[in-house]
Amino acid sequence: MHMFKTYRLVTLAKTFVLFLTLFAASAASAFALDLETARAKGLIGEVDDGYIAIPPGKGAEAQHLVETVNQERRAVYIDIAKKNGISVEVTGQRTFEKRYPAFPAGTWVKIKGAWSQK
Amino acid sequence: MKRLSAHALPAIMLALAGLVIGGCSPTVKVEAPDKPITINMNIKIDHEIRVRVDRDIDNALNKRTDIF
Repeated sequence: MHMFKTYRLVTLAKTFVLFLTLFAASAASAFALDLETARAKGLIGEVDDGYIAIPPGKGAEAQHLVETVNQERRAVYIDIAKKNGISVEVTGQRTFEKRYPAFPAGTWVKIKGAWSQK
Repeated sequence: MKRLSAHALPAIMLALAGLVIGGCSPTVKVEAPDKPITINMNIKIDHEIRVRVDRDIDNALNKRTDIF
């Protein structure tokens, strides 16, 4: 009886850990999906400074996503800029330049202040 | 006469050589190469930084597919 209880407890703990891992993984992928979905839906667009923004006439649905992604991108740009002794701005611009060819057609982009769809 | 010319020939040649060298030396000018060398170095350094930055950006793009 006692051994059975211990076994159940261990199994329960294992299941709990498994669920936690699955939850974390799904949360991460859901976040990735969000950015991609938002981009595909036209809720966000890529700006030539290396950040994202909401295209004109689109709702503020993706506002939270914009803030989160831009904050994390900025951290990445700061790292690269520091490492190479260049400005954070140039790093962001170069990242946009490099990524532009990979944007799917229809992606909203803001270049030199003007919004358009690739 | 023969002896004299035998002595004179090298002397004339030397004098001519001196003239040629002397005549050339003022036209050989050493231009100050500061400017082109500086530009070349800047381009080289600029290029190296570009290559490094591009590599770092590629790494970040591959690593952070969640935000790019």
